[in-house]
Amino acid sequence: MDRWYSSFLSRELSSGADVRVRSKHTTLCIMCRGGRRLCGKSICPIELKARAYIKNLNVINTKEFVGSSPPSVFVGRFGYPYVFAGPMVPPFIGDTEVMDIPEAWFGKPVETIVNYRYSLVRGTTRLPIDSVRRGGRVVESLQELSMGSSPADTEVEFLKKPTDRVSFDDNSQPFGPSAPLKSFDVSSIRVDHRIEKAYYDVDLRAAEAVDDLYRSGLQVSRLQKAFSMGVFGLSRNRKMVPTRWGITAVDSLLSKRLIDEIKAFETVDKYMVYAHSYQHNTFAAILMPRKWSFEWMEAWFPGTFWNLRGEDAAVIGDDEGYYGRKTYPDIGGCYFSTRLGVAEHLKRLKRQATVLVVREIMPEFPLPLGVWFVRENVRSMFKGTPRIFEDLRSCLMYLKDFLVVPPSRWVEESALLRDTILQRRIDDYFRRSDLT
Amino acid sequence: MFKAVLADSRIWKNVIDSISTLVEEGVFIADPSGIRLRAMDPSRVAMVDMELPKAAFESYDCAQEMPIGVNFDDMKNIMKRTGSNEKLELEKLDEEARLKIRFKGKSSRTFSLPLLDLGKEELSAPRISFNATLKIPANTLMEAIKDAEVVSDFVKITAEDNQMKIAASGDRGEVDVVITKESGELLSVEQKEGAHALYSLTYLSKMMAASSLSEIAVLMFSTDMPMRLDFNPSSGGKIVYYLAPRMEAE
Repeated sequence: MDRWYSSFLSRELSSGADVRVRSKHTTLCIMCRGGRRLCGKSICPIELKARAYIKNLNVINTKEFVGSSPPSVFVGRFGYPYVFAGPMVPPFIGDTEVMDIPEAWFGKPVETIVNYRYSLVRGTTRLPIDSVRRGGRVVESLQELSMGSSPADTEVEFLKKPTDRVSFDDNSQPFGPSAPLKSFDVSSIRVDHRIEKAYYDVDLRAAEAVDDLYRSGLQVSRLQKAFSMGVFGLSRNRKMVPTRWGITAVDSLLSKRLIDEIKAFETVDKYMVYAHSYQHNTFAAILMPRKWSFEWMEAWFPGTFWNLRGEDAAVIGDDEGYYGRKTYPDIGGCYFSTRLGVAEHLKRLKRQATVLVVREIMPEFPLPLGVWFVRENVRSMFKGTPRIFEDLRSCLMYLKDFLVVPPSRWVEESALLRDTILQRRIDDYFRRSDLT
Repeated sequence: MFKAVLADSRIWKNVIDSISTLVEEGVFIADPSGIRLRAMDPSRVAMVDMELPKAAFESYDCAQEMPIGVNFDDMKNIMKRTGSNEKLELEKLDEEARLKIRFKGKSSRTFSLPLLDLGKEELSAPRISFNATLKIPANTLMEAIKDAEVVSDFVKITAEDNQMKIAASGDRGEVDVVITKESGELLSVEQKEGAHALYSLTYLSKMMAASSLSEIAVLMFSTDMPMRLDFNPSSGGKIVYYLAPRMEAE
């Protein structure tokens, strides 16, 4: 492909970096060259990633360096049950903690977040997932890193320079450079003593460990990190879990337990509506005075990652009834991230409810950033003050001014809204005197 | 004090399965005439109304009304442990918040189930008249429900011209099942007028759990009104479900 991007990266490219770019909008990108925003996004996602990449290029153009890991580890999902795992280390020393704490990213500009991702160089080494049961220096060091509570200076040596195979396309999640690891050495690390205690308890089930630690106040992202390195669970069951799956597993199990708890509470008294906008995303929730059930829906407008060439917003969603669901939701891991935000909120209210959460993603949103973005937005939304309504119709009328997708479309697409409107209840057929 | 003996423990197992399919926890009321329970599912779309009269038991002893609140998952797990040719003894002392469940076969095995203090939401059954009453083999109904589940989450049931029609349609396709008197599958039909209504298949298929208690199901309904589905075990008693309809989208 033409090096059209050289126009906006000329200064950076003079360093001699070899950057390869892919785009699904080939001709559009050539016409635009990052300058005219023809794709409708607020920032050119290719430029965004390429800049972050090149910014770190000179320092990582080497086979070895020492840097402060936030601390961070990554477990890839390809090749399972073998995985490519390794430390994530930036090519500099300092207070890097925030670089791997998504909870702290909320409110930061997209450029900063992308920069975090591209600053972390990922060393990879191929391991069977059950290698955590056999121990060894590599696995144990990675486990220590995953339990760390503050940055740890880490020396990494790669088999080749971590510049290869970094490709930029206009829509994937930002992911930094990687290289096969020759060796790495963590100088000294302070591990979180609560996580460490669970690590030494080989009779404590992983679900219990994660739940206990969450309740003791540990951030979800820390638990996800440790979980993926197999530091929890019965000794005979321990295994590494690809980072992506681990994030969802933790969101899913924590929310499941909270939901079991909130089912003991009364239902909310009235309809409650929350709404929240952030970085070209709109979130809205309706809490209905019924027992627990849940639906999560996303509307991707034309020009967004999941709906590049559509004519109209693509609306997808998944739901569960009172007893939960047994299959993996098509919409993906964000289902569980949202469910966690919802369950946390209901627990705070000491109420249960039927909850619909919707998200609209505008074409200006540059690129998907990961499920943490959904989780933190949902959490933030519920910090707001709800509007109270007597019925569902009023909720939808109110949201009409807030959402771009019209209420009629949401009703058409939402299993939960249709159920609320169309499904009768036994109560409707009691005579009034029976209800006293 | 309450003590009841069932000649076949599997009857109680089936009763518990028929209730737990809809309800997590509920209160049996035992009184001198027998045991009954009425409960709604958490979404209040369906209701189960169960009765096992004194006559259904080999022996039955209950001097005064006694609520027995149970977690059905726990009770279900206990009842899974029963085999064939076992008697069942249920026993609760006045002062104890536990129900003793004793299987008596080759050996005598006693489980003790902690009871729940659930308060009392005494539900009355919805009082509705039905325009159509259809009697069909439970198995035929179950197969029709399974057919409908292939293509949709809802089913339209129609009674007209002495036929029963079960139809479903959705993105996944369409299905029509016709059950007639001539084929011998529609055992009897009484109707004042034609009736048709839409119901949730999720609930209908859950309610078919009671087909292990009775080979025949009696289905009653009217246009856009709740359905009543009766299973009458030959050993006595009844399991009755009510299911609220779903309105058709405009």
